[in-house]
Amino acid sequence: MKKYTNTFRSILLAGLVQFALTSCVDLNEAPKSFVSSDQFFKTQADAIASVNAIYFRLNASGQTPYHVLFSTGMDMMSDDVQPGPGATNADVRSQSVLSHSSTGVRVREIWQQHYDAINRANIAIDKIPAIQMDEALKNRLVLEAKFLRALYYFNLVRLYGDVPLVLHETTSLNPEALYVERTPAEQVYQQIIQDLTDAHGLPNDTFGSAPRYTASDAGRATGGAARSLLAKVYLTRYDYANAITKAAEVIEGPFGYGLFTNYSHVFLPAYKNGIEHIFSAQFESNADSHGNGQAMRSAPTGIPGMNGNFAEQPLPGIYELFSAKDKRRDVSFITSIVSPSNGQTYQLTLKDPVTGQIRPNPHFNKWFDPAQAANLGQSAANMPVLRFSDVLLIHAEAINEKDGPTAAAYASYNKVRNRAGLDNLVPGLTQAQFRDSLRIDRRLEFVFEYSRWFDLIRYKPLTGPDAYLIKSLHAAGKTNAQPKHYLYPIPQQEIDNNPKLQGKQNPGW
Amino acid sequence: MKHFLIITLLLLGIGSVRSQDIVNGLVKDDSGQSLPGATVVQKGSSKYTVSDVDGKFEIPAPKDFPFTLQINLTGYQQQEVEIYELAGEPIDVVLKTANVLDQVVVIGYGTQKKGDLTGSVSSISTNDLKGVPISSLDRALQGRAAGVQVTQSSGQPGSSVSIKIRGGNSINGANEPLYVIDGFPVYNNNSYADAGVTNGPTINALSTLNPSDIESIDILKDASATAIYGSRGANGVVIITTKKGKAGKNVITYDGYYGVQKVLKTLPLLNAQQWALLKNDALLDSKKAPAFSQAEIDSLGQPGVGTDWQDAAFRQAAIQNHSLSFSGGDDKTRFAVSGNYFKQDGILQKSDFERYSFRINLDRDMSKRFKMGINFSGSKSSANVAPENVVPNLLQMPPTMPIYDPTSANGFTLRSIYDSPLANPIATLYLQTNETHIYRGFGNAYGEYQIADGLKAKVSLGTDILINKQNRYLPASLQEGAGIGGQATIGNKNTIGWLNENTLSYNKTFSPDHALDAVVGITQQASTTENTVARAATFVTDEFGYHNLGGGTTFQQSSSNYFKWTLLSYLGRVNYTFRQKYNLTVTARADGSSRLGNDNKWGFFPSAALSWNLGREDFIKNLKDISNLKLRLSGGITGNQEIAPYTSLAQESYYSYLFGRKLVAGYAPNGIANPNLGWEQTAQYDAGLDLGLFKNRINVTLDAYYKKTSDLLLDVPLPYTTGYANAFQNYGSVENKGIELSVNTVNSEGEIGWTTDFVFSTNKNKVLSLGPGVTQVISGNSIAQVGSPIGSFLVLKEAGIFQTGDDLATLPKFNVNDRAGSQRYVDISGPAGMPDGTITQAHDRVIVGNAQPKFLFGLTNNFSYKGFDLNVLLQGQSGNKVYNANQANLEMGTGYINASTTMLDRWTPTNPSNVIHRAIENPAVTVSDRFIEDGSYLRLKNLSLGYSLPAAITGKIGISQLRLYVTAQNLVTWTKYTGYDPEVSRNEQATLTQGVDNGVYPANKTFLGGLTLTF
Repeated sequence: MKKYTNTFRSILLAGLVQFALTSCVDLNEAPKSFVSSDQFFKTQADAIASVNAIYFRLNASGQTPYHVLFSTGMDMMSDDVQPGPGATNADVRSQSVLSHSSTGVRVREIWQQHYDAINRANIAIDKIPAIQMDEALKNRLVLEAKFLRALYYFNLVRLYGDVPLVLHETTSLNPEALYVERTPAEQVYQQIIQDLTDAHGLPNDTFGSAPRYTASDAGRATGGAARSLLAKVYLTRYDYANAITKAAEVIEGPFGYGLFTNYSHVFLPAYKNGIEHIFSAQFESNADSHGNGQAMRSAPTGIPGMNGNFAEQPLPGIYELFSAKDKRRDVSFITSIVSPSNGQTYQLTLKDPVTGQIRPNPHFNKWFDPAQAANLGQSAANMPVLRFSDVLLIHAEAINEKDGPTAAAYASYNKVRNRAGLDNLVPGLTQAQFRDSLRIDRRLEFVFEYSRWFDLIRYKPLTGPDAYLIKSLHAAGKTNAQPKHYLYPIPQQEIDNNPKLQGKQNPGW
Repeated sequence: MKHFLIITLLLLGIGSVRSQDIVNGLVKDDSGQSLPGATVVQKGSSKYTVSDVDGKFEIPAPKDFPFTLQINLTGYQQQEVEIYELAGEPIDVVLKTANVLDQVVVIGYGTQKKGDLTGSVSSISTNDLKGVPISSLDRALQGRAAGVQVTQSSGQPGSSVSIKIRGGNSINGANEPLYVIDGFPVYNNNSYADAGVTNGPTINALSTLNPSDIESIDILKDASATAIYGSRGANGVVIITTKKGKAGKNVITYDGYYGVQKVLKTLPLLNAQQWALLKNDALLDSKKAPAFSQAEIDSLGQPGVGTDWQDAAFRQAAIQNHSLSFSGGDDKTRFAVSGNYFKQDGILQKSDFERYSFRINLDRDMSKRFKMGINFSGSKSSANVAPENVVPNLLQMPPTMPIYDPTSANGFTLRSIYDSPLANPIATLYLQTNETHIYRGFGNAYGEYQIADGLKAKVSLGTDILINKQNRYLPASLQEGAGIGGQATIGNKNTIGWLNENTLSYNKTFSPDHALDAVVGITQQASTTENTVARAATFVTDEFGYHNLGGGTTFQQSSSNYFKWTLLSYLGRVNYTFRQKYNLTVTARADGSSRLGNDNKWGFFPSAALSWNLGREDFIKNLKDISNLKLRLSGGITGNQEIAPYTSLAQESYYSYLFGRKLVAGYAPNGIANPNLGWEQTAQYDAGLDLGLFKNRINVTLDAYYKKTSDLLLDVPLPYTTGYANAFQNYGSVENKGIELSVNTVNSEGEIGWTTDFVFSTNKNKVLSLGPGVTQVISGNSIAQVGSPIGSFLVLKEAGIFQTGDDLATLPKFNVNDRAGSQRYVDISGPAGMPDGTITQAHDRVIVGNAQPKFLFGLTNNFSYKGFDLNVLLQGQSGNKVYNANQANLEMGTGYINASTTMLDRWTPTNPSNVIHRAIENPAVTVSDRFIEDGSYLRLKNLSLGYSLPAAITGKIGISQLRLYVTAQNLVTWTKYTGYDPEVSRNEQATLTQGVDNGVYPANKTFLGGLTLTF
């Protein structure tokens, strides 16, 4: 017994001493299923992934800028789009009639998601240069990040006016790091122009001349895209000379851009990333939630075998604005639909509640993917951010505004008209007539492509009784439109969380 | 070895002892009642026996006189009898009821006599839990301990329970207490039992342990008691001690019950005809043609027409429990082995919970100085869970919809044919696979060595292995799986934890004046979790269920992850008692936790407490009526570290994108690293009084406490310009203050026994601050606002209904097109800080009550008469609000879904109701004060009647005890709440969003009968 005791005593003491002096637990966290940020940015693969994550914000599932959010949070305010019966969000409904306030959820989400993306771009721009990797690739990745940062800031400055210009990653929770002031729009634009000028050095599209991307990189930002976006920036700033120069560079340069002969190819997944697509948000079916849900939102309900939820519908009048021979009409809209389950054709009509008359009830159709008729949310249709017809119309508009309707302005404009099956524009128009016609064609060409609102707030006159935005909206029955709507309100939550924004709300909000 | 053999022989009853050397005796209590089961040991030897059913015992006498017999029985003071010679007459041993002050209470890292205690500790006797049908031990706390709020969040068998001790401290961190099971600290994180696949209520990780194994439950409440658990003590500590074997003869006990359960109540809904009229009204309101003709409406009024979905979904469900335990021991070895089977069918078709478990407790004195032991339990628990859409769907399914469709493949209708395409909930219950399986192995082993008199070293090593497997299959024939051709998901979550504790304790009484009890220790604990989820969709047939993921033709992303946490601690406590009157306790613990920021991993948690046994002072002693009086005072700091691991790090998250039509990986940080993230600290002060009157026939414990929790682990919103929405930071503070009272009385002793235990507590919770610039944290309709309690409800206030002739142009409206029959609200404010003539969620919501009760109470009465015993527990709470979201949905009046019978009184031009709005297809979705209902209730929680057969009868058939009993649980509930049950929490253990009743699995009442058989 004594022997036992001694043995146990020594085991026990040894155990105690060992545990007491050398602990087995490590208090430092060593995660395995993710990388902590201070362990990242070491390899070429890390650099590529950090830039891919900036693209992600363009159109991630849910409501993101180029996936639904620019419809519910922007285009629904315009004279093209209104909420359908499936749009049940009270904030969206109030924003669509311009009775929203600074607490509107989409007002906040657009702000939030753009700054999320900008922070990702800032991180890439700050950190990639220090990585040991292929120098050409390193340069390209930083320029892609700059292109995307410019795109996101361009959206912000157009919608919100003066916005805080943050150009580096936020790494600390100190108040100095968290709270930033609004930056004058002029300064934000200078940064956008700088970033886009830098991004001229990006490779060309797969169909452009060398240096060009390989097919597996189709969809990345290109040098042509940087020039095209810069042309749009200049046009937005009414800097027509520079807009003409940049648009001409894109039209005449070695980028390989052109128009599809058939307008429907712009939207059909089979033709994605083709010669007309300068920059697009990429969608795919059944690929980690990258389907284009806009297709489902615009489709009707109650068609057997289809899961449309009719959350978006054209405002009355926009369909009728197309002439019957305009090939864009029946690509942009659908007036009857074939059920994928029973093969029957369903006419989309509406009974007028007042007159009792049956009239066509067209639905938007640009993002319908024929391969995903039964599962509309999985549409693989890309969302164009910039396409060649846009550059042609920027070119025409800038020339007309600067020099009047010259032959060059006619030439660019007519390319777009002819592709739509329309005749050449009547020659000899005045500058104002040319402008009016072009504004209508821009609207028809880009309906439901998140373009109309940006055009409405850009078109002059900006003030007075004929202010273009307000006049257009009033004409569409949106009588709440007021001068304050030229700018979004700064989201209330952002003001609440940043003392430097307090008392700095946009006028009228 | 020799000893061992003798004991074995004795146990087997074949020891041969000369009859003349036997001492006979009779054990009685002070009222003369004979006491069976008392252990009689010859001091200094291995000889012992146990008194029989009549209290009689025989023990062999040694050769040498005198010798001492020691007699022990739980609940009685130990008695020693010196024997000088063998008398012919049996010795009478009278055991006195144990003095309250001598009762032993289990505290962290030791035990203490109640008389020496300085902290606030509530103890629950398992006697009260006999035959009470509970699936998990935490449910046993309800109504039985002051200051403990127990909320069954759902009626799903085996589902989670929310426990709050002295209110909730934390807004974003967790508020559940720490459980210490046989010395092993377990935070009951139900997410460990949830791989993330099963849909619906979470299964309670504690339901894997068999409640009938429990010997005692001690609840540590104030800082003096909980500071020994440092960073995990702030929410209170529940110490569970399982049953151990006792030296004596083998005891075999079978306990079993069988019963039926039914739903507490059903909600009054429209029948088919009433709904058809509502539908037509709503259509008419939108200027649409009616859906039902008058002839159809007439025929819907025939008896038996239409579907009562609730009736089809609920059933009388069986519940059964069978426990078998073996225990015993000798002077060196004690053991207890038990097995348990528990099965509870749910009151919703096809849902259930089932558990198989076993436990082994073994202690062995290896020598006079060295003792070792092991306790281990293993279990397999399985549940078929009712998916969360079932209850909303069975309430909302239009009664004109049939359940069955003979033409469909599975015999059920697919979904509602009306505008809201609700899935058929009965088909969901029958055909959807939604199950979870939990395998848990839990135990520890220890060795304890007595180094010197009073000085002991103890080393223990424990493990907690929790393996969860979940399976889900949505058949293509159900609405849920139809769109994608069937979807199968499986998930695994394996959590392996270990614990090592090393303590040195010293316990010595130096003189009648000075006694010291001290402990120091080092402990370390770690836990690793791995989680895998795989899924596939679009199957050729529903036959595979979830068993053939490879057969799915639609790719679905699988996922896996890993996390680990560690805790290293140094602890110490000193209890010093002077003249048995003055007690001082000083406790400290230092905890290092991996979960906190690199610069703030260590926390120090001190506490100090004093108590004064006034009852032992002469001036009180002389007062005949006061048998005990003690004052207690304590203060200290405890912590909370219940945030997910890695919260302080900036994690690179995965985001995919597409190039060349192929997925590519992206990574970006999900937040800003916070190396300063530290403990949430709770400073708590407690003043208490223990009073015993009339020979302790009345015992009163009264405590008042104040808790201030600061440096909250708060998910603080950030400006979006940072790129992020929020970050965990130590910000803000919350206070809780309250009073707890428990009164235990012995009203009658002897032939008619009657005891009463009453517990009552109040708690007042208030948010003091939320960090710079932040005045409120809102989640849905719940808010934490500075100056108000956490979990307040933020809603619009109703102002009646717009009536015909009201001036619609000037009255504040929610929607521009509101008109007669629309809901009116009070215009509270606007963007300019004053009423603006319109109703908006942003400016017109106000705080209307909160989900925290003002007071809780429980009243237990125990009666005994001859062999009968009766236990009655009344329990309740008052002052809390419940957001009845079910009712809000059922009063939409859209004609899309079914409605409450309250909609029969809806506004029409001829019935100008000022409460219920008109039928309208698209009403604004708002939550108003009318749906924030009073959740106070009083419940006859338990009514249990037992009968123990007289020893004279059982003795003849070789049984030492046989008790038969019947129990009714939740027999009656008195409440004004109109939903299924006021004890409800849609969001389970969440603190901010507690008290929401939205499609929760309803509670049940139970009737059962059982028996306890002891050999």
